Amino acid sequence: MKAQFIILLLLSLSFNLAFGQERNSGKADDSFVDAYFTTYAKMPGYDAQMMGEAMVKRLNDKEAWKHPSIARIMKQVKTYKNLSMPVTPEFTSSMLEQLDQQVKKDRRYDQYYRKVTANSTVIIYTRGKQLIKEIAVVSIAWGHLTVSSFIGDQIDLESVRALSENR
Amino acid sequence: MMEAAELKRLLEKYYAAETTLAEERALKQYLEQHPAQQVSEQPFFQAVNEFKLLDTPIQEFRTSSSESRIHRLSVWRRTLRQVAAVAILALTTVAISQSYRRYERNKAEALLQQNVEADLMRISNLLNQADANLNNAVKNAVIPGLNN
Repeated sequence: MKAQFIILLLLSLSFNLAFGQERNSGKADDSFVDAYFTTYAKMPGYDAQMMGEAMVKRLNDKEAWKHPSIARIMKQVKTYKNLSMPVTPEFTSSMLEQLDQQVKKDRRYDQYYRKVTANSTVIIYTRGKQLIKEIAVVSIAWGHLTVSSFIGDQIDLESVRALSENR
Repeated sequence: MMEAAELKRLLEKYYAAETTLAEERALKQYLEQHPAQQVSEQPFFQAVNEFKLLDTPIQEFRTSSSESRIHRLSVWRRTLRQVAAVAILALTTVAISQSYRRYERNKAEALLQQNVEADLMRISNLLNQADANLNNAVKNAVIPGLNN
């Protein structure tokens, strides 16, 4: 009986070590903005907006999108979140460092593309391996941070890429 | 004998519809006895003549019950008018606030829509840039190697 109890305890501990970190790192339905940027919510100029499922659906039904390719992509999107706020260069470097660490630790998002120039940094993140459930873009340029996130069940990256060609 | 001042006061009261029945009776009686030409205040008595010509018998139209009915009716009417005014004001306020809310919602929605379109286009451009950079890197790495 004692041995069984010890085995159970060891199993539970190893399970927690293996999966505990990922389970504690935010809800599965969270967006990139919710997962990593809500801690900055009290900073001056923090402005987050969300286009919920109902609004996306309404705009889709109204055929309000400017381009048919955008309309096609938006049919794959359920929610859109956007954050913008002014940032200082010091804050930017520490924030990016922290973001990199968190994303690495979290393992929910993959860094898809990163472009760093003297005045700007742009990073594209994706969530989901076979089916892309979220595309997020973090952009810092001229003292301003913007984070946008598109959440859906299956977002086709190729149609997003082709958008600027089909314009 | 009624004095000219008293007569003037009564006539003024009469035209302002403020005379009592007794005062009106007194006035009528006086004017029947004194034709207008004999009185010094000529302008007044031109009107008085007309009054005499009308020769309407003074009647008491108001009884206490009809007076209270009229009073009740006027209170009702006034209350109804106030209620209608408040209702119109409330409805107008609601309509204005709703249309303002709709305007704000449409404005926010249009702004978000613009953001979505701009962001999608930005991501698309970045993905194309990424592809182009990757192709260039492969070309630079592979083609010199092939040439060698």
